[in-house]
Amino acid sequence: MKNITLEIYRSIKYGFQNFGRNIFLSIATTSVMVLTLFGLGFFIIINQISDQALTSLQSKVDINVYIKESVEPENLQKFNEYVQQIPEVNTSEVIDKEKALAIYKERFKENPVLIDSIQFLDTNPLPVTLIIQAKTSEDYNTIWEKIKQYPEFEETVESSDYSDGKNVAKETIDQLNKIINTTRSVGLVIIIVLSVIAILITYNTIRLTMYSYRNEIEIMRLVGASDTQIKGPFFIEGILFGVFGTFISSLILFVVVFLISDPVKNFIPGSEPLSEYLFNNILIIVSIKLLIGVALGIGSSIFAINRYLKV
Amino acid sequence: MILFKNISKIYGDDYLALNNINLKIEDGEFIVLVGQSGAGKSTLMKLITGEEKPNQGEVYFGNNRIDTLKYKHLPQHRRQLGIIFQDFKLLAQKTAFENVAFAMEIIGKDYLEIQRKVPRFLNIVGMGSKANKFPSQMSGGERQRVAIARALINEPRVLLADEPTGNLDVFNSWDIVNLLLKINEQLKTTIIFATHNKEVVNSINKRVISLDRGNIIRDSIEGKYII
Repeated sequence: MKNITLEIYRSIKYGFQNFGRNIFLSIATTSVMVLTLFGLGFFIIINQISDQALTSLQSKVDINVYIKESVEPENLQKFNEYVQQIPEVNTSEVIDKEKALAIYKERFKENPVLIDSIQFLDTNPLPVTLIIQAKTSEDYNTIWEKIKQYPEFEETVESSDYSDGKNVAKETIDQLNKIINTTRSVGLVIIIVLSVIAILITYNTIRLTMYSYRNEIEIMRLVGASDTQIKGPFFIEGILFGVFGTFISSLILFVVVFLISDPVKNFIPGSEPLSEYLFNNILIIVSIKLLIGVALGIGSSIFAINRYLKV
Repeated sequence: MILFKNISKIYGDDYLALNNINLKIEDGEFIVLVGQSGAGKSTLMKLITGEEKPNQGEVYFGNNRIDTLKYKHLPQHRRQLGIIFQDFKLLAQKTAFENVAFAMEIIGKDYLEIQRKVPRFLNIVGMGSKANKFPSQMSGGERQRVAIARALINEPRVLLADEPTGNLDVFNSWDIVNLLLKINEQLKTTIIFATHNKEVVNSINKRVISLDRGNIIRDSIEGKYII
């Protein structure tokens, strides 16, 4: 037991000592680690923000189902309940004639011609409307198909802005779905490719650092050091690369995020400001970076020196 | 006791470094290995440290067979040896003190014992005043003294010295040789000393084993440098 504690203590001591006595090499290695981790942190945030922007766009899409004048309130209620039990439906809301008129007036308040024209009529020409939002924008087709299967469909529904043929809502939704899917998969591919490149560069830098230790490693073996005794300090050094890398890259990330937060918010309306997102998720982002940084540091160091542990 | 039984070692496809060597070295002996470069001196040493394995034959260290030792058991074996190299092989990142201390740390000695023993050994080799110097701040002779202190610090049964004077001037060479003789005499440490230095061999009157192209051509008590 005493020996194990002593060996751990010595590993830590020599890990720091190696780091300090090779300070230029350590700075170079840590810098590469900083770049990698900064990139990763930045990817996480960008990914999250674009996701949010897409979700906010998605929530603005809905379909309007116009109800026939003749439908009794209890039948409308039944129809609404039918729609609500469709699994893909997120919300469905009944807009009665008065409310529809109010919305109409609000929407076109800048356009007196449209407002006046509706006031010329004796009766309210706007139909009762069911506004349906799906859980995801890909579900609208399914929902519409299911609505059409409603037994009293013909008697209830006048029309919809989502039906076959020429249809603005349908086209918008389809377009949006395409954009969302492409953005997500392209974004994912870019993140994976960049991460792999960053990780390879870091690995290679650490490998070069360890290459400079190869003579030391051979000497240690020759004077009777065991593999654990040799690897211990390099293990600690790997941790140091990861910890310093995380710390410095996080500082840089905070500065960059606060600088670009406002411009980005103006660019993507409806998204949470970057700085707020970073602030709310600081713990998880730093933890992910620390985890990757330390794993990369230890993994690369140990993997690299294994090549020199031959004699 | 070190015993080589029918040892042959071939490098690559056909370079015969040792050819059917049989050799017995008793405890406390001082052995001088002579021969030209490529005669097989270093290979013989490397068989003792386990750096190389023979293609044929058996190597014994005491009662243990070492040519079949597994990689993970080599450290344990090497801790019984002290090794001095022509190129010193000091750890560049460590001071003289730390280099010597490292050998003690490996076998799990504690701080107090290290603090007590290392300065004593550095004094023995005449490096007491330069304990905090790094190898890059020392001369060749000084580095070799530190290496000797490191080799001796754990009081090994056997000291291997592979051309320890090869990179040193005459004055430093004699110092090192005298140190080895003293160690052999006072501590009864077995010493295997490979050298090119004819003058040294002829004046110390120890057992000389002459190697030529992988064969032992002469083995004489109180021998001379003859090839």
